[in-house]
Amino acid sequence: MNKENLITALISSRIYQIPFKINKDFQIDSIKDALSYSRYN
Amino acid sequence: MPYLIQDIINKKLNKLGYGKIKGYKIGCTNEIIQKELSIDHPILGVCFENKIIQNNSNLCLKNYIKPGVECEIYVVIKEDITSEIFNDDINFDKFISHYGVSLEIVENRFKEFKYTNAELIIADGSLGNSIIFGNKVKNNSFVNLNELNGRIIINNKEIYCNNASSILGNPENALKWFFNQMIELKKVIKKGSYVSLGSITPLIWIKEPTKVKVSIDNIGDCVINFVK
Repeated sequence: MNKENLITALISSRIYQIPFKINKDFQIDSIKDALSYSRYN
Repeated sequence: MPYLIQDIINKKLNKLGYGKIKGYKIGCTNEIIQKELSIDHPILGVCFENKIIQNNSNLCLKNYIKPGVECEIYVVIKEDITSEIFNDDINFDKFISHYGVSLEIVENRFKEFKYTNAELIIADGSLGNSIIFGNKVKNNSFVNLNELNGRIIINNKEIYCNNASSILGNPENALKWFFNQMIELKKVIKKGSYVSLGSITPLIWIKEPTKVKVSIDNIGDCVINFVK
């Protein structure tokens, strides 16, 4: 998951009531990467 | 930093009809909620202009993923606050023009909450959805926020009554944390901003049509009806 995908998913949960899905452990690391990436970009 | 992601999302939500940022909400300020969310520190979100709800409103449950309610204290900021005028020793009374009771509607937007962490919840907007700000009471030097008692009443039955000290030991601690956090984020706190300082009572998740009332003794109350 990159930063843009993360933002899109979080906005969709707000606007369209689409729950943010994380159902596998590896996705946590992917989200952490997206969050840390935002520190430098 | 998750607050940078939250900022990006807030700007997009503003353009998508949420309106301007009228205030802020501090979350995870009492031990019970911190345990429930597995977060050991306060978190910050915003209150959008068009997500401020009128008292005594009816809200359709279908418009929420998983809503919850909290009884909170809010304050209104008296003057612009920047790093130049703020330090830890200041008298907070100086910066508060009004206060009151707020009813925050939070929303769990995560399919599997057990996989979330503090950073993701902050990026999400700290579970914020909407809020009712009750009647404003003019601040005077006689009020001690720490002596206030908050109640949450579900379907006409009182569920919890707690002292405001459940907010980080004293609501002023939440305000101090907020000031420091905003300064760290290099943001100005504007005069007239509303700041909901956190929940006095435990978070109550709403699963079916429910009448919710929150009150703070001698201050006021807020009511909403969740309907089908």
